[in-house]
Parts: sequence; C-alpha cells; structure tokens
Amino acid sequence: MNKIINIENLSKTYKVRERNDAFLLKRFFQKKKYREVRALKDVTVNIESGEFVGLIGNNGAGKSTLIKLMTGILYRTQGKIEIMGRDPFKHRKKNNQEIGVVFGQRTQLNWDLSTMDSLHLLKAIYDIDDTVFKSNIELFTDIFGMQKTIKQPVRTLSLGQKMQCELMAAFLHNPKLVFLDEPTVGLDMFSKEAIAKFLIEMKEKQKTTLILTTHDLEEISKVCDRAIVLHDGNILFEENIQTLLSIHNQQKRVVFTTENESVDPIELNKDFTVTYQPFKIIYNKVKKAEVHELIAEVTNHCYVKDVSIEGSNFTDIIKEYLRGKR
Amino acid sequence: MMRTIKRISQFFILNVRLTFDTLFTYKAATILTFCTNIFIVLIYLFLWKGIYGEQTIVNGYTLKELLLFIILLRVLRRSYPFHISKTYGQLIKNGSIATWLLKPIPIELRLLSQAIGQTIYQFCFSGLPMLLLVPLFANIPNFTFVSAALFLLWYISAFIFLYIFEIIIGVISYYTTSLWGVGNFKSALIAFFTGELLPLSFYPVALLGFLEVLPFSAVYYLPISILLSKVVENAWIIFSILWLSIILLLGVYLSISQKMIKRISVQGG
Repeated sequence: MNKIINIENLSKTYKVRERNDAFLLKRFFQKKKYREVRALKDVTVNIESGEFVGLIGNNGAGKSTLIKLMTGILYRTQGKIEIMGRDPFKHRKKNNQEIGVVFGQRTQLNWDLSTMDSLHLLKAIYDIDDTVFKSNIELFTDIFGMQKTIKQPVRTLSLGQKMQCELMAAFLHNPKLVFLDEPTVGLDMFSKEAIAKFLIEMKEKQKTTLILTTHDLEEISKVCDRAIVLHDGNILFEENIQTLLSIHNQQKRVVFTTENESVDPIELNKDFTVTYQPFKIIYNKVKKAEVHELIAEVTNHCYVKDVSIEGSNFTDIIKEYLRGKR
Repeated sequence: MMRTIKRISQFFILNVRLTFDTLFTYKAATILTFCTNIFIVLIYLFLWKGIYGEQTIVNGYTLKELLLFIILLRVLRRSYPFHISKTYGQLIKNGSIATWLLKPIPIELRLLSQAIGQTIYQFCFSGLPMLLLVPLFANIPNFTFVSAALFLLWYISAFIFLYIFEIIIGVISYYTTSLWGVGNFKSALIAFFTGELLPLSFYPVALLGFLEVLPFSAVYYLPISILLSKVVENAWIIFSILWLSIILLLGVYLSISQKMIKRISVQGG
C-alpha cells in the first residue's frame, strides 16, 4: 500500500487575543495583547491508501486543526505535511479535486435549493462524468432511502437527512480521500447507523481512504481500522482497533447478583478490584483465566442468583487512557 | 486546458442560475424589494423637483434630464456588485470560508458568478420597474446603437473595477475579522466619489479636477452621459485611468490574497 498522508513533526500555533479589562476609551488606545496557543505539537502520522482512521480526543485536543491542515485550509507553523504527495496549502485546488470533506457544523449545500441542485453544482465543479454522477446518486439514495427527499429544499430536511445529503456531496466525485469532522453530532441512533452503513459501503465500493473524527467512540470502532488518540496537541497513541480491543478484553468485569442485600467480604488474595452494592458484588480487572475460579469461590461463599461477564468496550478503553492524562 | 475551460464555464453558468433561483425562492421578499425600490426612486424624484422649484435649468440640466439621470443612476446602482465585500466578509467571520476553500474552483470565480446572478435578479426586480417610471417623470431618450454599445462597454468595465475593489475590501476581513467599519467607510467613499447622491457636475470645480484623475466617475456619471449621447470631455482618458486602476487593483489583490488566507483561523471545532 502507498502512503496517502505523510505528516512529520507538524506544529500549529494560533494567536489568541486576550481580554482587556481597561475602561472604554482607555481600552481603545491600548495595544492589543495576544497569547499563543499551540494547537498541535510535533505530530507525526502516516496513513496508507484505503485505510479508515478514527481521530479521537477531547474537545480542544487538536483533531479539527489537524483536519484543516490536511485539507490546506490552515497553514502550518512548523513541520512537513504531504497529502497525496503534495503540500496541501500550496496545491489546495489540485488536491481538492480528489478530496471530499464534511464539517459537521458547516454545510456545503444551498439551504434554499434542493440537494439535487447542489449536487448538480458539484458535478460541474468536479467535472463528474454523466454515468458516474447517475450511478452514484442511485447508489447513495438507495442506501439512505432518500429518492424523494433529495428533491426538496435542504432547509426542510431533518438534521439526520441533512447530514446524509452532506455525505452524498462529499462522496459524489469518487474522492481518494475523505475527511469527516464530527458528522454525527446531534443525530439519533438510526441516522448514526445509516451513516455507518454508508461508510462501510464506500470503503468496499470506492476504496476511499477515510479520516473520521467523532466523540462517538463506538462509531469509530464499527467503521475504522485504526485509532489515533490526540491529547493536548500531541499523539497519545495510535493502534489498530481490533488489537486494542483484544488486549483490553483480556480483563473482564464480573457482576454477581446475590440473594441477600449484603454479604460478608470475601478474601481472595487476587489483584481484582471489588465493589459491594445492595444485592450486587462487582469485580473489575479479572483476568480471563481466573474467571472460572472467581465464580466458584463466590458461589461457595454466598447464594448467587445471576452472573454476568463483561468485556471492556472501546469507549471504556479510550476513557481509561484519557482519564490517566487529565 | 479546453476541459478546464469547459468545466469552469459550466460551473459559472450554473452558479449564476442557481444564485438567481435562490433569491427568487423568497417571493414575498422579491415583491417587497420591487416596492421598496419604487419608493426610494420616487423620494429622489420628488426631492429634486423640490430643489428645482421654478427654475428650468440647474447646472446645465433641465429638470426632466436630471430626473432621467437619477432614475438611470438608481438602476445602475442596483446592477453593480456592491454586496460582494459583505458576502466575502461574512464567509470569513462565520467560518464558512472553509467549505468554499475546499472546492477546486477559485473563490473569486465563485463570487463573480454569484455577483452576476444577483445583478440579473436585481435588474429584473428592481431595475426594470424603476425604468417604468421614466415616461411618467422624464422624456424617453433617443438611444443610438453606438451609444448603447458604448454604454455597455463602460458598464462592464465599471463592473469589473467595482468587483475587484469589493473583493479587496472583502479579503481585508482575514485581517480584521469584522467588516462593519471597513464596509461603512467603503460605502461612503463610493457614494462620494461616484456622485451617487449628487451628480458630479454639482461638485465644486476644485474637487472635479481631483475626480478627473480617479476612475470613480466611470461608475455612474460617464456611462449615463454616454447613453444619453452627451458630450463628455476627456472620456477616453478616464476610460484609460479606469483600466489602469483595474490592472493595479488586480495586482494588489493577487499580492495580498494568499498572504491573507494564511491568517485564517476557522473558529470552533
């Protein structure tokens, strides 16, 4: 596979104006004060063609800044950045011919016209062949079930429908690389499911490379191959999602529902963490191999009505990493 | 090369049409714009009637000539791209510029097609109704083919000049973020130098000499005078100044726009 994104020691610094508390006219004549904010610090990332990568991080971690640098909207302060072998700022127009972008909080559709009108405009902008245009519209409307709604004014659509139309617009010209910046903010579970289904289809049919940022971590685990976790402008770690899940699922959470409201503490001499709740005993960080032994010990000690064994989900794993950094 | 030209022209024509359609979506607003412009031009006409009183000629203009001049000036005013700096400024202020910069079409071309779409809309729903007032207040002028062709040449040149002037003002938003002050200053400057409120021949002689070396008289005064087949001294010198200014402004725009784009900071997420 070839590298589609090559970033080395990338930094971005913003100047932010500081609040001036001086009184009215005095404030007018005083020099403005600025503070530097380092949104990204020496970030190095490589992404292969065809990969689906999730960018994860708290608000202000630098995810959106990284996307804007990759799309050539922002200019870097330091470091090297190559998208499809080109500097994205210098070759913005050329790169954008092969890039699709959705910013969850901004629209590229004309609100007063129908989605179809905006798609026709994009056809002209990207010089899309008639047959490609028709087949893509057919495919997208089939996946989303939007054959009729595509012809009504965008402002009359629901939030979920609008986002689905934004995705159609981003994938219409069969781009090599697509950036989705928080595309599911405020959407219901059905809309999220439809979007995940659409992205998986695009991965198979268009062989697109996808960079996705979202706060919905389960969505990333459903759609992406790899996760890059950003924290305070740095890469905290990057890992294949399946590997991450299998490592963390070596440890389980075992929950016992008991007959009695409270039970005497059980001495086990193990590294588990235990919590006693009314009618419940919860063991965390139980190794897979020790689950059997634990169940035998607890059932010998008290009357157990039910047992559940849970693995860590992707959200828990990431939360644990980020919590450690706070 | 041919393919790029074809792609850009297809986009351009479609965006002109879609801009017109977007404005036409709001039918009530269209009707109100129509009425508002009739009222504004009527206010100007009654004001000048009052100023003339019993006099037949003021500053070389009969009342009917001046009323015709005012109507044509108001039609032209609606047909120039004066809103483009505001549109550009708002895109920068609210961060939507990001989605525009992400398209492989120059932002200037997109704004130009939008300006033409809006001009066509404004001419249909503001300009044409105002022209209907001509027979009521003034004499219908005798246009010749030559005067109409020359008028068109002057109008297109002035349109290009104002468009570049507007996008320079718009691009300043990358620096100031808010365009409110700059926009107001620009409007006052244009109104004063172009003779938008008072025909230039009413200005003091000393100021007129200064205005002769600026291209602003080519916005209203000269195109209308040429359309009405009036003899204008030094018209072709001003035409040369106009085109020299266009080249100069284009140079300024090209040299500052890339530097200004580097200043962009799209707020929030």
